[in-house]
This record gives sequence, structure tokens and C-alpha cells, in this order.
Amino acid sequence: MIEIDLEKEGVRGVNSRLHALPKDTNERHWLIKNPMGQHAIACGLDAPIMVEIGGHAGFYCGGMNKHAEILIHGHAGPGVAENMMSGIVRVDGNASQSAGATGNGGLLVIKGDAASRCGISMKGIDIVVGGSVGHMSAFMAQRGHLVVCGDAGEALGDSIYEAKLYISPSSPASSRRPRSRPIRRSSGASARPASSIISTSITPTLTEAIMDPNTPRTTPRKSATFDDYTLSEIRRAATTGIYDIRGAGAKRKLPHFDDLLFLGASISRYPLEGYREKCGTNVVLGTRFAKKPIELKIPITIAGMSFGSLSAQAKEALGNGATLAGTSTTTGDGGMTQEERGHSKTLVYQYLPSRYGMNPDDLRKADAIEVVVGQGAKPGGGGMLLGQKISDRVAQMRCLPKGIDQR
Amino acid sequence: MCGIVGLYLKNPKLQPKLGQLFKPMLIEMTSRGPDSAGVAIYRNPAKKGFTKFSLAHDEQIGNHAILTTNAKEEAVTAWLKAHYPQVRVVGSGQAIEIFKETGLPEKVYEKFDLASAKGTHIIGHTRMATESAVTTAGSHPFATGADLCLVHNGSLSNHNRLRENLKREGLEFQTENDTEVAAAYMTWKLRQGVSLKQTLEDGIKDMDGFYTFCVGTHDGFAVVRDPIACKHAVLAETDDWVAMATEFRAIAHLPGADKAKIW
Repeated sequence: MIEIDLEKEGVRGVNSRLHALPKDTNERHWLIKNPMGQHAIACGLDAPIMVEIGGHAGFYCGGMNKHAEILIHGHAGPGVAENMMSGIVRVDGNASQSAGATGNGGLLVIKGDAASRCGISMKGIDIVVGGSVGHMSAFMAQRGHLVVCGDAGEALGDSIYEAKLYISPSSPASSRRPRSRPIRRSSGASARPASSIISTSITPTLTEAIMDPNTPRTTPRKSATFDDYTLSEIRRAATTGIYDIRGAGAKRKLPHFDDLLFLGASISRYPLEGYREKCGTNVVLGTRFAKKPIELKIPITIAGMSFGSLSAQAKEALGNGATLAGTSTTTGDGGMTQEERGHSKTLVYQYLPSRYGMNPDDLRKADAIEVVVGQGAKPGGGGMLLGQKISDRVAQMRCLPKGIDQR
Repeated sequence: MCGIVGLYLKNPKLQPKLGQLFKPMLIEMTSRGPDSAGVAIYRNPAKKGFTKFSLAHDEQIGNHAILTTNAKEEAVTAWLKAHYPQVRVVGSGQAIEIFKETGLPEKVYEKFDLASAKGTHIIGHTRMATESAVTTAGSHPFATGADLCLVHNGSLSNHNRLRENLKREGLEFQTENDTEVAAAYMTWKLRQGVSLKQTLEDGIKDMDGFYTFCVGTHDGFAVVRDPIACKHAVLAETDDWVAMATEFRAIAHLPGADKAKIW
């Protein structure tokens, strides 16, 4: 057994040594001493080794694990084995919130209790908890198994897809059925006529002038946002209860590219001589710290749109176009396709809250990583897709059932 | 972000080392809060009938002072307000002393020579400002009454409305900070004679947002988390001490932490 002292080498030092191991390594058994509750210990491993952690671990221990067996001889902080792909993570003590969250595969064993959101959005991982789990465990669970030997808190398996949950028959939670997808109800609101404008008169003559159809009228100034079309659409949706699923703000009238005039030289600094200035539009990202900075020919990039919302061909076309134009494309909420990687010279990988299609191998293939906190195109965290668009391939990549609306 | 830490020494033999034991705990939380830091330390109780006031001033070099007097609390506050409006009373009570300042926790700790501090218990805060400005006044802990103070990790979403309600009840505010509203809420409740436990339980209903509070009292501290436990907190206990922290790595520095009972 090889011992490493985390207090001396630091988390980055320890993880770098473990990441450098080839898959057929003979150095298969490691002990990390003095973990001191540090975060991200033994994260992103990709070799069939055994790593023992001699104490309590902080956040995200064993996250994104592939192949390795990680034994934590203590308690684990939030997000233990988060997004695990394969292998085993075992916690001798208790685990904090979000244990095994969004895990794709492998086995997570927690001998003690797990706090709230255990196995949230799990995608194929098997989780066994010796004690109880907190509220919102297996929320939106997509695939895999959660076995709880004790009790479960509120909202167990809320909005669940296809995962299987087992809890002790003696626990109070076993009598509550998980609530699956909410039923959409149509609204009972009825249309009301808008009240007409009533003017009050100061003198009878003025009233006559106002009432006279020949008196010139001021054209009402209408709101740019709430134009006649928008208002009629709101009234129709309120009456029928059927609303349009659309990107927030995506259906606004926007200027076309032809309407824009960029004064190129002014973008970098004040132009000194109008016609002889060189206008370089290239942009370098990562000038300070990156080992491999990204150089774009234009300061316009193609934002993330998922494989699923767009077809593989469309993603491919975007990649081709962007490569010709010298800019980057971004993966989006459905993971990375081979076609997309092949056709985009510069590809940014989105690391998203939903972890749809998230794979550490693809993460390493990307030229840059974009960490998504929230999104403006849709309410909430995104990842919303109509059932018609969930083909076999999309379903497989996202660990979701085929043909079912996704939120 | 923000980090909060608390340490209560059960073993009187350790009390001379309170500041020394607490130092690595607070400094470990630097990455959660590099903007400012503050501590409330409970030590050297004043004689009966006397009250200690922790005073702060923004412009002086040595910008904190401890005033011990047997005058009435309201009278002292009113006098200071009338004669030295720049001086802020940041805490008062028998044993509490509050020190807070902008800058890295380590610097703040050195500035007030807290490593040599002796006492029974201490709570601290490292701040990453989100809601309001990085100022000494916006640093934690916030006082909530005699020997009471509050540190907070998280964010309140209804603090503006709550502040207006509390202003109508006659409470005064020095900053735009959401934690000060929580502190004022507690002061208001406690003034009405509501028990500390009840105040904290009512707070869970009245304060909306995600938060962990640590409330220091003359004989210990209390920890409150929001109803869905959005913000993490760890409590640990041995025969010698009780500690709380936003992350376990702060507690890991204490002697015997591996064997501690942990919640």
C-alpha cells in the first residue's frame, strides 16, 4: 500500500499523482492520510485502483469516479461520488447532502445516514444507505437503484422518471407513494372585455370638440413589449390554458446582422487614422493561466444549444460554419456528440446543473469548459425538451425514457 | 459563500488557549470569505452592575475599544450618539467583546491579537460580500442584545420588507446588510420577553431565504439552519469542546477532531 500525506502534498498534489496512473498500473492500493475534511479528494479518477481515505472528507469526494474503488474511513461532505460513472465509493460514516447526485453508474455505499437530496437526478448509479436519507432524496431520479435501510425524509422520489427506490417496510416513508410527473390542468379563467376609456370634460364646448369625429386624434402610444399581438396571445392563453413553450425573450423582434454597424477600430482603442488602422477581431481566451489558450478569429461565438434540441446534423453544420468563421461552438444540455467534436475546431463543453450527457471523458476532449449556473433562454435550469424530440440516441445520452417530455 | 465557525470549551484547562485553538479554524474559512472577518469572544466578565461595550470607529488607527462602565445601557448609547455620532456600539454585555474588520481573516486575527485571547467560547465569521458593501460596519458578528450576537452564512430574500416592519417597531439600522435585519429581528423578539429558543424557531418561519445562523450567548452558542437545509453546517463534540463550522475542514484542526461525534 502506498501512503500519501494530504497535509503535506495538498489536494492538487494527491489528485495529480492518482490521475497520472495508467489503466494497467501496478500501484493499485493507496492510502490518503490526514484528509482534514479537504474538498475534491480522489476526484475524477480513471484507473482500477483502490484508494483509502483515512478520515473525514469534504465536498465532492470521489466525484466523477471511473473504475476506482474509494473507501472513506470517516464521514463525507456534500456531493460524495457526485456524477460517478463506474467503480465503487464506500463511506464508513454518514454522508452530507447530495450524495451520489447525478451518478451515471457504479455503486455508492453509505454505512450511516445520508442527508437531504441523496441520489438527486441519479442516472444509473446504485446507492445503498445503511441508515436513513433526508428530504428530496432521488428527486427527478432517472435511472438506477436507491436502497435505504432506514427511513426517508419528505418528497422522496418526487418527479421521478425510471429509477427504482427501495426503503425499509417498517419506515413511515414506505407508506407514501412517490409523486410522479405533475398533471397539467387547463386554466379556468374566462376572457374579460377591456373597459373602454372614459374622458371627463371641463366645458361643454370641449366635450363637443372631443366628441366630434372630425377633431384630429392623437395616435395612442403602445408599449413596445406588450403590443397587440402579445396582448391577444396572453388573453388567448389565459382563456384556453394552453401556453406556448418558448425561449424567454427568444421571439422578440431583434435587429438583423445587416442592421448592425461595428466601428471596428473603436472596439480596441480610439482610432488615430481612420482608414489605415488595422482592425484585428481576433480574441485570445486564457492569456494569463491557460496552458493551451483559445484563439478565436472573431469575438462572436456560438452559444450552447443541446444535442436533442438540435439534430446531430445541425450541430455538425454549426461546427463546420464556426470552424470556417474561426470561432467556437458550445455543446449544450445534451452532452457531446462525436460528429460535433469532429467538426468544431474549438468546442466548449458545458458543465450543467442537469448533468445530461455529462461524461468526464468528453470533458477532457473539450477545448474549454463553461460552467453553467443558470440560463436566460428558459425559466429555471434548462434541459427542457419535448417528447417528440427524444429519439433513442438522445434518450440514451441523457439516461431518460424515450418520447417523454423533459423538464 | 461566507464561512462561520464557533468553538465552546468544555474543559476549563483549555480556556487559556481559546484564541490559539480558534485561529486555524477561522483561517481555514478564508476561501469562503476573504473580504472581511469578525469574532465575538466571551471573556473576562465585568463586575456585577457593570456592562462592557464594544465600540468601533471607521477613521481611527486603533478602531476598536472596549468601554466598561456601571451606567445604564440606554444612557451610554444615547450619550455616545449625541456626542460622538461616528462611534458605533457593535456589542454590549457582561462578557462579550466584538472585533470585526475588512481584510483577510489572518490579518484581522493578528490586528486584534486574538491568538492570545483566553475565554470560554468564541464565534467567528469570514465574509464574501454578496448583498451589501465590504465595510467594517457590514462585517459580522452583529449584536442582538446583551451578550448576544449573530453570524450568518447565506442570504435572506425578504430582508427589505422585514427591515421596514422592524423600523416601524422602532429599531435602528446602520447598514443595508441582510444579517443586520436578522439581528434586529432577534433583538425585537427578545425585547418582548420571548425566549431565545422560541425566537430562533419563529425566525425560521419569518425569515425567508437560505441561511445558517450561529448565535452566541453568555453561556454558549446556538445554530439554526433554514427549513430545507440549503446551507451546510457541521457540529462536532468531544469531552473537551463543542465546535461548529460551515465546513468540516475548519473543525479538523482541533485536537481529537477525528474521534469527535459529528452531526
